[in-house]
Amino acid sequence: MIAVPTGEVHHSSQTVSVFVSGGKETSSVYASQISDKDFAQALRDSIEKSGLFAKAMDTTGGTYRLDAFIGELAQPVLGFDMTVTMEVGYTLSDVRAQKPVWKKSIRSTYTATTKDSIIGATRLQMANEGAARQNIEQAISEMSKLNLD
Amino acid sequence: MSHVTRIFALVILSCVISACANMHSSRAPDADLSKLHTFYVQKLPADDRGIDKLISDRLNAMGYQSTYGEAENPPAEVDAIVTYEDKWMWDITMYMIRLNVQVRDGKSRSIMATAESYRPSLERKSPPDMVAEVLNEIFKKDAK
Repeated sequence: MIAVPTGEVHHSSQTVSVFVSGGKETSSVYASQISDKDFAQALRDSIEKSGLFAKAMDTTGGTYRLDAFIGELAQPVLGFDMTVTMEVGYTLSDVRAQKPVWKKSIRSTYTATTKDSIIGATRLQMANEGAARQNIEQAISEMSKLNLD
Repeated sequence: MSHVTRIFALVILSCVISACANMHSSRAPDADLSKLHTFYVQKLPADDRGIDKLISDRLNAMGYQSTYGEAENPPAEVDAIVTYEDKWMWDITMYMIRLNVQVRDGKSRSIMATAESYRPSLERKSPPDMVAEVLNEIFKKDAK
């Protein structure tokens, strides 16, 4: 999944290391979830696609470090319209200066209806992905305003 | 295996699967809950069962100082703001199937820690017990 804001994104020539925590793995028994690994991959792919940073890595060594904490993933138990609300706390730090340059909690909501799918589990997964996509788009837009070098 | 036996096995299996309680908790990388002493529990607008009071009472019982209310902002400065969401289902009677609680920084409202308890019908607990298990899970490393 790649999420790119519709507006213009500032391009930095620097690299960023991306780390995610707070997610949950999807088991075969319970409802669809968002794992650390999947959200981190989506975040890295979206950052690179948007050009916000020249490269997004899953290891240390970047000029910047982005920590994302999935604090809340509110899902319905059942329903025709599945609305998922997600809240992620982001911290972008300048590794060279060893200090945070941006910190924000971003909340996003997405609703999947029966027009999207008649299968409840699929609607929930689509709502998860929609909320995650919107969250990443907002995060990239906010970081773009920093006009980093 | 006869047809009846297969159906019976499937029914038992579905009961077992649906009866699996689940607890999940996580903490922000830079969160230090040991510094938290005062709390404000923000009432969920849709909550008409007094879950905010249960959470606040439990925090007080754990040795913290907590108040609760409907206002989005606490009446006085606090170390942390607590938000929650309770979900209920019906199975002969109404029961709380899921409770998730977030502990937020008192100034920035960023989430410091969160925990969620999921209890299907066969493993239901009373709301005070679910509140206790969720808060115990959040603060288990900082027990007073």
